[in-house]
Amino acid sequence: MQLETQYASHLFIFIMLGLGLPLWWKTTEVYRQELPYKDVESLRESFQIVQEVRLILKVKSINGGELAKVIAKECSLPGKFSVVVTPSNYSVEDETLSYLALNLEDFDASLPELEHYHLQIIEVDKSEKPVVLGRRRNLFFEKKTSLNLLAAVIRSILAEEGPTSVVNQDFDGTSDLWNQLSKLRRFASSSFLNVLFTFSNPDPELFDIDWPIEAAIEEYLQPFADNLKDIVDIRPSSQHIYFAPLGVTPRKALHGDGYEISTDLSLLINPLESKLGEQVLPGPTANLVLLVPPARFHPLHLKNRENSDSFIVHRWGGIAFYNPPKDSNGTHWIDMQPVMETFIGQLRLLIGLDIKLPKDVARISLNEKAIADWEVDYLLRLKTIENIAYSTKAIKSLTALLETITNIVISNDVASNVSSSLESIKKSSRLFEKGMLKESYKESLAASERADAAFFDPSMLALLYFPSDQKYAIYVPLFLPVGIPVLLSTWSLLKSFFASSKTEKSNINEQKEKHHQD
Amino acid sequence: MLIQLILAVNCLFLTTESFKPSHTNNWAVLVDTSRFWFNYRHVANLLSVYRSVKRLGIPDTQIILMMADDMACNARNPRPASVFNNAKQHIDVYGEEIEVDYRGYEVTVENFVRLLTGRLPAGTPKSKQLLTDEGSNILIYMTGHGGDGFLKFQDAEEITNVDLADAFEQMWQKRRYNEILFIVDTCQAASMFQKFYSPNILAIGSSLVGEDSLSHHVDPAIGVYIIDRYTYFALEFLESVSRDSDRRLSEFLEVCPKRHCISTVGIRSDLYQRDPREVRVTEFFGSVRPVEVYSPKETLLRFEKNLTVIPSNFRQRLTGTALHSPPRKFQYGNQLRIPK
Repeated sequence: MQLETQYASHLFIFIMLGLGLPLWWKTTEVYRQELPYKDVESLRESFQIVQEVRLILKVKSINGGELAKVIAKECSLPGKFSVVVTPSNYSVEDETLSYLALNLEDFDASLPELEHYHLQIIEVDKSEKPVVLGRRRNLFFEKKTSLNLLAAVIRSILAEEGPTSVVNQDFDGTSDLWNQLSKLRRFASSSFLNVLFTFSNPDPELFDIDWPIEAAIEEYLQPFADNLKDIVDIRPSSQHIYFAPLGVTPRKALHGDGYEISTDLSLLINPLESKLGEQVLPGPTANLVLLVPPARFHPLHLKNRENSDSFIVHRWGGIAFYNPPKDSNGTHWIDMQPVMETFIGQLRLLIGLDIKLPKDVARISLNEKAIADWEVDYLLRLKTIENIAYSTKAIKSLTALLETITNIVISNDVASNVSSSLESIKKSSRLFEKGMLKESYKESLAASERADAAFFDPSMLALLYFPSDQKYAIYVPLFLPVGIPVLLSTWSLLKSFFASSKTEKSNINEQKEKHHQD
Repeated sequence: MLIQLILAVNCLFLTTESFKPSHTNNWAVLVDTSRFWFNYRHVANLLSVYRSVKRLGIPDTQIILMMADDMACNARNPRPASVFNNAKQHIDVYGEEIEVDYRGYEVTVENFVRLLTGRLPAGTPKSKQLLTDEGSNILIYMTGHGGDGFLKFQDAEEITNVDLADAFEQMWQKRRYNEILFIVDTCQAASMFQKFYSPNILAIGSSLVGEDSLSHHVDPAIGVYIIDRYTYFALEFLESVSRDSDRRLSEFLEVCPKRHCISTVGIRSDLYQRDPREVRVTEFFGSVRPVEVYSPKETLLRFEKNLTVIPSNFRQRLTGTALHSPPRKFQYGNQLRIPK
């Protein structure tokens, strides 16, 4: 081969393999930001945070120190809960309040707000049941209350069994039925919840009924929502729907007049759902429906009703029946008090206030506040744990996925969301360990929102339908026509190199022979 | 199939036998990927399955219907606003209440994968999102033209079996399903589920790799094939299922033997953990809604304010029972404001 051709071939090969190939490789690379894989690996999936709980014990006639020690021992769970009980006697102020109070309700209302403690355990002279739970952070017991009962109640309030063990989102057989049911029923943890009150009247020409819902929301729902503002932002709305058919044909009641429904309650939901329009509201929505039965099925009751003609649909809302009085001249306005009591009771269950208390425990009835302060703490604990577990699982599975499917783009947003979610998880765990419930809940909520934003980032799709085998299928026809002449010239280069080295060798041998001959 | 419990505040009594915490709601994703009048049968397939699924109880809010073309209002349709799956026109599968979530050119591979993985842009309406959770059983039915390892979307693009497998894996990682029943009625359908690797998926394809799925019969009035064989026989089976049927999934898997379908129905059940003989057809085609009667044992909530407010000119606050006000006159609003 001629020298110029050789130089040209060398140049082509250099450009193609030395410049072209790396350039092509780099430009067809998927943009993947670095994720903190190691840190995410180190997150433990089983919940191992040790919560510190501080209780204060106020006694009158028994030995506070001993009782405090026993309670602390009974209620602490190694590795999960460390309960510290501070014993004290009734102060002068407490004595005065106790004397002035008419009943336990008043006493509960008049006690000062707790600052450093999560719960106040107070001995009283007499109460209707061995343990009475107040509206604020107070628990009342008598001298003769058994220790086991006291410890059991405290453990329930602190959510010791149950929510802390349901860490995985899968239904493992270990968590008991109560907790599984509670988890199925409540809405997933989020920063806001739309509550849609719907009034369904299938025969508006026969029933002229209305409900003063705005006033009812203001008077009954608002106090409840105000107490929940640290946990979830409740956004109420209301509507009327007409001509929604009843999905089930009820039977005649066995006792009394009227009709009843006992089975297939879920069939009542479908005809309503097409008219509800809850898809308009962004985010999770609780539907609370007040259903007026059609005129021919009047009055309609649920067969197994006890105090309310209503039922709850898990993670959806609740439906209550309302039978208007037969004789009404003019517009009949519904009395909202029992209706709202039912709805808010259902809403409490739907956000997760389903606490399993032992027998012999009484609770002071709740007024419009609709939630006790210690229940707020319970919810904060429950939801913080849920959020931490959820975000841990989310970022762990995201990183696992991104390691397996190698051609998904990882943008800066995703990387920053993953890192900040990780930070929030760690911060929330630290705050939770110190017993700072509100702050740790906020952090955990931020963690789960960031984890979701990272996992569901719309950008993680761009090259999904471009797997590597198809990548080669596209580029080979482009590079092959250019590549073939280069390959051929490489081949002839090599041939000429070996040929020239052979002739050199033979020349050297000839010279050697010549020398020998000479 | 529902869960009915009497729940008291302090204690729990279970009064039903079938409380299965694994499956709490049902969704259906029905996709037709081909357009043009000569693919009428794909739309008819889809709408037939849609109709069965609605009849068995899944509400529209939990069905995602993706139709790539509009046959009912097509200029060539001699009976506008109706789609039939039978030349004898027994049933109008278009029906009177239909909610198409992705229509026409919105049915693309990208939208489909975004729907499954949940990575839709912010502001997407809820009716276009797959809002499933860890207890959802999803029925996914796809029909159209397919080949070895891919399914054609709208004559312009394809989804490969690798993409689909990856999408399902992402769904599994985020626990967006409990179990999936994946049915595909295209040519070489079995290739679509060859690459699945996520658990709890039962896949049915109307033909094996190398075989074509055939259509059932032509409607001479319209001039196109009106339904595919597999879906025709599957529908025949589904028509015999009602909400409280005890028909099992194993029976559904045997629908359309070779003498009817001419192609061989392919099934992939290695990823599915339960025995199809113990699974009811309604666990995928019907709808379950956990429902419990609300009965607070004690009057835990006792609202003290007793309030009845009547707006407009009767603003009074009263205690006691509800008040009646003079009747309201219902009349039509003044829609046509013609000046007098």
